[in-house]
This record gives sequence, C-alpha cells and structure tokens, in this order.
Amino acid sequence: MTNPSLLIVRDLHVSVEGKAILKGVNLTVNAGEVHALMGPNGSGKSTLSFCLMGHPKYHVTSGQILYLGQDMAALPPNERAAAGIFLAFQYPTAIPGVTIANFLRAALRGVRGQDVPVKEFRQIVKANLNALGIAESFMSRYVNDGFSGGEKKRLEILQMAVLAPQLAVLDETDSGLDIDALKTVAEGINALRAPERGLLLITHYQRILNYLTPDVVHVLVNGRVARSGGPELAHELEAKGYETFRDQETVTPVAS
Amino acid sequence: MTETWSEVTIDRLAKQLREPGWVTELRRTALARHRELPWPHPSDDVWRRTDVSLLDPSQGFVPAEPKLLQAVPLDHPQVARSLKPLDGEQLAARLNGSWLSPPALTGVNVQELSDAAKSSPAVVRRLLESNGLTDAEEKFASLNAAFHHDDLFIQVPGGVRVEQPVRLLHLLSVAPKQAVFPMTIITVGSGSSLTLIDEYISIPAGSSEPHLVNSRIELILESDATVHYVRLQRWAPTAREFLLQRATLSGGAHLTMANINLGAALSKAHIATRFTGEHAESRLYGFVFGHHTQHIDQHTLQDHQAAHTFSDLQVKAALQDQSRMVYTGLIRIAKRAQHTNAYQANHNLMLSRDAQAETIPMLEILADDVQCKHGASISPIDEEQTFYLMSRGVPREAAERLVVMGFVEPIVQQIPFAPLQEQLRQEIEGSLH
Amino acid sequence: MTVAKPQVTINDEYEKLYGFHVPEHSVFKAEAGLDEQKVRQISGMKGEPAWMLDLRLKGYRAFLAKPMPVWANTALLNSIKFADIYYYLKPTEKPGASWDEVPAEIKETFDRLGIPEAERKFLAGVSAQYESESVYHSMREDLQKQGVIFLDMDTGLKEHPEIIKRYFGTVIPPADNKFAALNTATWSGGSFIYVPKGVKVSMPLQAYFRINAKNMGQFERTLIIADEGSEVTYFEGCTAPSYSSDSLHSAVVELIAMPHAKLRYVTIQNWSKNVYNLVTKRAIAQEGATVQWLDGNLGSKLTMKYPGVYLMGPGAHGEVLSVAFANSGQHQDAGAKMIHAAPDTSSVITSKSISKGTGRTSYRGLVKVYPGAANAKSTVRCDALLLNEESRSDTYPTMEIDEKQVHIGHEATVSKIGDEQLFYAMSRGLTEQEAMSMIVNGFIEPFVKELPLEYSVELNRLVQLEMEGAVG
Repeated sequence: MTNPSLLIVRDLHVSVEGKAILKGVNLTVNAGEVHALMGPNGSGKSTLSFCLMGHPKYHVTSGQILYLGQDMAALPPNERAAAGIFLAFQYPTAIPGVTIANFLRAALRGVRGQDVPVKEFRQIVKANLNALGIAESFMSRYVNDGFSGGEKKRLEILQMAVLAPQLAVLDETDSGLDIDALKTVAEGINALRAPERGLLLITHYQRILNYLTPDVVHVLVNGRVARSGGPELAHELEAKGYETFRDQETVTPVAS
Repeated sequence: MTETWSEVTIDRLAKQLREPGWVTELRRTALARHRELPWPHPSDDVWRRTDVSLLDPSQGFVPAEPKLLQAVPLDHPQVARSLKPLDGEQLAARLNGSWLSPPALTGVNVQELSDAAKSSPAVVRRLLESNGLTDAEEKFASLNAAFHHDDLFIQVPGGVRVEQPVRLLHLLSVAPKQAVFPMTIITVGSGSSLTLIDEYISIPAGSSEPHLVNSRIELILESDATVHYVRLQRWAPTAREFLLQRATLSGGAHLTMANINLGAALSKAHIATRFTGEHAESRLYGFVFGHHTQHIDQHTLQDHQAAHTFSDLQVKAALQDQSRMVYTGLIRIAKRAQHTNAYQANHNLMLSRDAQAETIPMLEILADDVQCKHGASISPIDEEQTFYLMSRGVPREAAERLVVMGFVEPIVQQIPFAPLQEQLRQEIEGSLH
Repeated sequence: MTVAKPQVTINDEYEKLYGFHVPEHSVFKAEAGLDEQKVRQISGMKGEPAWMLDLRLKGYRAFLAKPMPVWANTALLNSIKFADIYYYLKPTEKPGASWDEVPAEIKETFDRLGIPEAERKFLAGVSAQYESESVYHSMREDLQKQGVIFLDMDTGLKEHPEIIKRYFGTVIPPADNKFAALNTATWSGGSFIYVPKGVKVSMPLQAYFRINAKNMGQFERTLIIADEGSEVTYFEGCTAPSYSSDSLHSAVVELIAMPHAKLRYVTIQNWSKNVYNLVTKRAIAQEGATVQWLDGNLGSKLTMKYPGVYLMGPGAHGEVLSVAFANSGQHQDAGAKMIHAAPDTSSVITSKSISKGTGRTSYRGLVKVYPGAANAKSTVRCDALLLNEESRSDTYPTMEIDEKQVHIGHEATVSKIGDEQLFYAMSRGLTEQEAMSMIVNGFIEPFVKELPLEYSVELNRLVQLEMEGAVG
C-alpha cells in the first residue's frame, strides 16, 4: 500500500487512575473503510475512544496511536481535531452559557487554523441543519445544556458534519435512541462515508449495523481485541452473545 | 473622628447644596450616631474578612465637596465610551454631582435631593430616616447619611410604564485621598415599570493614592411595580468602596437586579432585598470579575417578611490574578412569611493559583411551610468542558475563555438591554488573560 | 384529616427507658463549684504525675480567661451556672473487670440500658462510665493479645503514661476554647485506645456514659490512636435522668489516624433534655488515612458540637455524617470542620436535621483549604426538615479556599414534609403519624445505613419516639 493507513493502533496499553483498562489493542482502519468495535460493558471501548482523542485522564503506558503515519502521543486534543480526528461522545459534556453557534464557530476556526467569515459560517451551518432536519433556533441554545438524549446525539452528528473529519470515532452514538432518531443518526453517518474517510463505530448492540454495513467487525473483551472478522461476526455476536469470546486468548490478525 | 469629619463639614455642605434645615439636622443626627456606634466586632462573620479601617474616612481622607472636584477629561476612553448613548436608551449623565446637560427623560422625574426635599419633604424625610440596619452596617451608612452629596431622587409616578431603558451615568473625578458620598433614591409607583441602568465611574487625577466611595442606593417598589435595575460598578483601580444597596418590595412588586462589579481595589457591598407585601418577587444577579489584587466582599440579604414571596439570587465570581472574593449571604424567612420560596447560589471560578475565595451562604428559617435552597461552589475551569471543546479543534486558551464566558453568560443575560449585554461581553472577554 | 392523638408524650417515654435514677452512693463527691484547689484535689486523688496537673492548671486558667462564644445561642450558654455544678463525683473505688464486680445499683442501671447484653452479642470491648469514673471495663482477649489497648483514660494514664504524655492535648490544646479548657482542667474518665500497626479490629469498641446525679458535670476525655494501616470503630452512647435542674457534659475527644489507618467514631447522643452538651471533637488524618465521624444528636437541651478532621497528609479523607433532631425546647447546634492541609485530600459532610415543635437546629460548618493543598475535594450537603410552624432551622457554612485546583461544593435545602409525599403514603393506608415517621426515617436514611445494624435499629426507634405527637 502506498498511502499510510488512516489509523493504526499498535499494542496499546492504557490505564485510568492507576488501573489498567486496555491491555494491548491492535487495530488498523484504512481510508474508505467502516469498522465496528463491539464489546460488553467495561471491555474498554470508551477508553479507546477517549485515548484516540487524547483525554488527559487516560494514560498510555505503552504502545502507539498512529494517524496518517504520525504518532499522536504528544498532541493535545485540539490538534488531533485539526488533524482530522473526530469523536462523537457517548455522554457529551454540557457547557452552560456557551451557545452552539459560538462553539461551532470557535471549533471551525481551530480546525481550519483561521477565522471563518460570518457569511460562509452561516451557509455551512444552514446546509447541515437542513440536511439533519434541525431547526435553526437550535444554534442559540447552550451546548448540551438541558438536552434530551436524542438532542445530544444530533448535536454530535451536526458537529461531525460541520467539521468534516477524516476519521470519525462514534462512541455508542446509537445508544438510547428510538428507531426514528436512530435512522436520522445513521443517515447522518452514511452521508459522511467517502473514499478518503474512515469510520470507527463503537457499539454495544448490532442494531445500528442494520443501517450501516461495516467492512470489518472487532470484538473487544477485557481490554483486548478478541476477534476480528467481516460483517457476519456481528450477526454471530447477536446470536451467541459475548460469553463465547471471554475465554478466547488468541488474537486474530486484522483482515486487510 | 477628626476635625475634618465634623459638623463644620456638614455646615459647609449644607450651604453649598442649599438644602432645607431639617435635612442638615438629619445629617447631624447621623454623625452623632456614627460616633456612638462601635466598629464591627471581629467575630462577626459578615465583617471579619475585610479590614474595615481601610473604609474609615478619618484615616487621612478629605471630604470631596462638590465644588472642589476636578473636571473629568471627557476624552478619557472609558468616559467617552460610556458617554455614547446605546441604541434605544435614554441617557442622563452627571459629572461630579451636576448634570452634564439637563436630563430629558420620558416618564421619570429626576431631582437633586435638596430640591426633592423642598418639593416632597414628607416622602424624602421618610426615606432618609428609614433604618432596619445592623449596628455594623449603620456605622458606615451613617457616614453617607451625614455627608451625602451627588444625591438624586428619582421617581416614577403610579401607573406609568417607562418603555425606554434609562441609563444614569455618574462620573466622578477624584483627587488623591478624597472621599465621596453619593446617594440615589428611586421610587417606582403602583403598577409602574422602569428599567434603570445605574453606572458609576471614577477617574482619579493621576496618583496611586486611594480614594473612598461610600454609596447608598435605595429602591422602593410600590405595589405591583416592575423594576429592572442594573448597577455597573466601574470605579478606578485605586477606589475603596462601601455600598449599601437596598430594595423594599410591596405586594405584587417584581424586581430584577443585576450588580456588575468590575472596578475598585476594595469593595464591601451590602445588598438587601426586603419583602413587605405578599406575592412580591425578586431576582438578584451579581457578577464579580476579580483581577489584580482586588478584594471584593459582598453580603446579601433576602429578607422575607411577608407570605407568598419569592426570591432567587445568584452571585458569580471569576477570579484572576491575586484577587479575593468573600461572599456571605443570608436568607431570612420570618415566621409570618409562610409559603415563601427562596434560593441562593454563589459560584466561584478560580482562574489563578493565587486567587482566593470564601463563601458563607446562610439560612435562618422561622416558618415551616417554605422551600429554601442554597448552593455554593469553588472550582477551577472544568477539565471535561475544556476537553470537549479541544476535541473539536479549539485551542486550550480559547477553550478556557469560552468556558469562562459561558460561566458569565447567565448573569449577562439578565441585563434587560441587548446593546449593554454585548458591550459587557466584549469588555469582560477583553480583560481575560 | 382526623388523626388520633398519640397516647404517650416523649418525656414519659424517655423517663421510662432512660430517665430513671438510682440513689447516689458515691465514695467521694467534691463540693459544687470550681477553683484551683479543686483542680489540684482531682489530680491528687487520682495520683497523677506532675505534668498532668500542670496541664490541668493550664486548662483551668484558660477556662477563666476565655470568653463565652458570642456566635451561638448566647441566651442558653449564659444561663449555665458554673458555680452550682459538681465537677467530680467518684461512684466506686475502681472499675470492675466483670459485671459482678460492679456495685449492684450501677450494674442494674446498665442492665436496664442493655449494655451487658449488647456486649455479649456484638462488641469487642466495653467501657461504662458512671458520673466521673469508669465502673466497668473489659475487652476480648484476642485483641489484648494483638496489643490493642482499650482502657478508661485514668487507667491508661497509669499504665501507659509515655503514650498519653506524647499525644494528650496535641489535637485539641488546653486553650482551644472555653469548654475544652474546662475539660482539660477537670477531666475524668473517658476512653484511651491504641490500635497497633496493621491490626484490624472488626467489631466495635463501645463506651457508655451515664450521668445519674443531679447538677453533675461530666468531663470525660477520650484519645484514640490508630497506628499505621490499622482499623477501628468506636461507639459511644450516653443518657441521663431528667432532673429539673441542668447538668453539663463537656467532653474532649482526640483522634489520631496514622498513615493509611481507618478510624470510625460513632456517637448517638441521647442526653436528657436538661443537659448542656458542649463538646470538642477533632481528628488528625495522616497520609492516606480515613477518619469518619458518625454523629447522632437527639438529646440534650443545647448541644454545640462540630467534629473536625485535619487532613494533614496527602490522600487523607475525612467524613462527617450527622443527624440532629431538635424537639421542643431543644437547640441542636451541630456541624463539622474539614481542614485540607495537604494535596489530594478529600472530605464529605452530610448533615440531616429535623426540627419539631419549637425545636431549633443549626448547622455550622467550615471547609478550609490551605495553599498547596492541590486537588482538594470537598462536598457539603445539609438538609433540614421543619415539622411544625414553630420550628426553626439555620445554616451557617463557611468555605475558605486559598488554592485554585480544588473542587468545593455546598448544597443545602430547608423544607417541610411534602404534601405529595404524605398523600402518597396515606393513600396506601398509613396514618398521617406513620407517614411522617416513615418520611423522617427516609430523610435520615443516608446516616442510618452507615451504622452497624444494631445501632441503626436503635436509632430508628429513638427517632420514632421523638416523632410521637408530631401531628396536630
């Protein structure tokens, strides 16, 4: 392959407040691919997503995160965002007093490295609001403040659409949504699929995969990728549950 | 009290202001009262955290008699900005106790106190004599009662809705070691409404010597009156302030008050709301932007004397540099004030390692059928919020600035006048570092 | 709503259970009032070393010099008649090691209070104090073998003077406040506990304090040292008969938790409603240590008590969990102090108070963070419940913070029992009285669930008693 892979996670060990959570994760996402990372509660899925984004509480004790061939270790979260990584949070943080409009503008300025003219900013926002069926009044609300679960998820997708990242990591974006909201969110994600982009969907359930067919499915158990395979693996999980993977010691190499 | 702070000064003031004799008599009574009152006891939680001797005019301060004040440079940037009327407001500006130009306000009568004392003596006398203070408060308030000048009597008659916001700008040019005693009395009649922005600026004549401001503000809301009151405190960095600000609410009155504290080296403010009639409601908001070595000590009182009353209070402080914020607040619910709901919150955002915050939110509840809640917090900028913003590409410094502005925003939102909101946002954001 | 008036009043009930008294048969009773001679007399009778007498005299002089607190219920405080109080009363010659050695009358008293029975069931050691002196003392043998010391303070001073000299008065100095000074001058009895390194005492050690005589002043002194990595729970209970004149209880309790030790101190204070309960309780928590105060205040006329933890070492943790119930004529002025003097320290204060009739509860607290105590965390939560129109509740918390990297939160609520809650419970068949008791018990649940089972049953029963007559 001439181009470097979009994302390579190499033997990643991570601890939180002194407790080891990830114990050697290996993962490669190439441009144009959609990967699903599945696993039971407490397996380390969210930890991996926070690490990719550089949350200060998560300490990489060994291993590497390479994005477009570059080691991310020293980069603060905003520079990872500017490099093209996006994380849709499972539990987005509320920032009372800060309007979504102000927030998005500051984000776009950060990602682009320069100010975005008001007119252009309005156009970008408007186009995306329309596409996602969100009312314009949404923009003057405070970030995630007093939002319902569905509203929070929609704001995450809106941000993803506006910032147009190259690698999007979606942490349980499907959880807690009714079927209509789930469809909207899935459409938003599908709209982002492109040959130059990669997607890593972190999910507990197979449900969202009915709308988004992954190229590769990984099963994370006890801080390690227990198995990787094609879309059929998700169906197998649905049928058998995670129990069968718990004892699995061998790590199947990533299909590529 | 020294010679300077004696009846001699009172007599000179009386002559200059040409006030009726009974007003001067009240000044003398107040001075006598000041002399007999003790200084606050060091065990008193409301006073112990501020060195009150710094607010004692007899510690080398001289009275700033109206005619001795110097001219304000009208091209001073802060003065020039404040003198520019904002879109849609009625502006009346005063310089050192005189009108810059005769005020032309619709729906509002504005008089200097000496004139009001002649035209409506009964009302003015009752207001000047009103008390209900603790001894410690009166120790300082009596100084204002003895030496007040630059004093205004503002009246909205009953049944008048003043549509356009009124901004009163008080400009004071002060010489080093001067002490000034402004007083503003505002009465709003039954069923009337008023939005008043009360702005105070002092410009010292190039010296690092302190000047002293002892202010009194009285707001009287008659039944069913609706008032939005904003106090903008922009004293110079060398100012020391004692402020007594009180609101009295009759039945059905609604008050929304925002105190924006931006200036002064030292400020000791007592802000009280008293509910004397049923179904009165007040919402009090305060923002303190602490910077340099500022010491801000605010005491609030929500004094519920009548049933079915409501009060909400939120004081927020963002503390930079070596600033120090002291907050003490009391909700008092009298036995007869059943069915009262009262809330109080004080939040302090620590922006520097050297900043200090102390908070004492107090409750004294003597009625049982009430809902009462208070909260206080002291914390640095939230790391999760910063991370969330950074994960979207916002650099740390900008992310933190956004979080601070988000902290301030709910208070700014309470200012019922959009152009002023915007001005304040820019001013605060510009001062963050 | 018609609800049958309850048949018993609280005073009758207290009288029956705890308020009885037996005739005085002391072996020695000092005259009422206090002077230097009496301080010397107490020390002399106990055959104390000179340094302890010096300490007592220091305390006595501080007691005279210190003013009464001006910030609390001054009316009640100033009505204490120090000259009428009996400062020292010795009921027996020496503490018994088995209940058979305890004079019959006194044994009967503790039988009625259920102490020997509790000892058999779930306690690792028991100390019983009657008036000024300990009358019974015992501890399980296995703990003795592990080097655990559990003695009354007087015996402790005789047998382990070196430990006591080293720590006594170090957490609460003689001149700390007027009442701590008085205790230092006149102390008698109390507990002395030392738990050696790494020893974990799984069952609680208990002391029971009983005032029997009229106008009595009880001044017990307790010192507990939990050495590195050890664990111990100490429980104290107290009652007195209801006389028409007042008694004074003024204890000093010092706790020292060495690195990584866990120390728990549980009090259910149920003095009769003519006792002034003015005590000073403070702990030091060193690196990684945890100190927890569980403090239930039901009795007394006036209680002033603010258990504190000085968090002196990195990672130390302090907790105060308290319940105050003020019935008519009572003022429970209680609270907590948390002093953060090291990085990564944390504290939690939870205060639940209930005012009934003309009862008054006050929460008074302090959270202080010194410069350098980075990452200090403190959460304070005070909830007050007012049951009647005449009830009163005050909240006076103080937070003084000299450090940026901290998270300090305080929340307080005052409310009456919600009509909706009452209605819901009554719609399921409870009487108003039952419903209120149930809601009050739910209100104090965060405290009760921390108690060992036996104590939580006892506390719920006491609250039940206090709730009698709440309706109407």
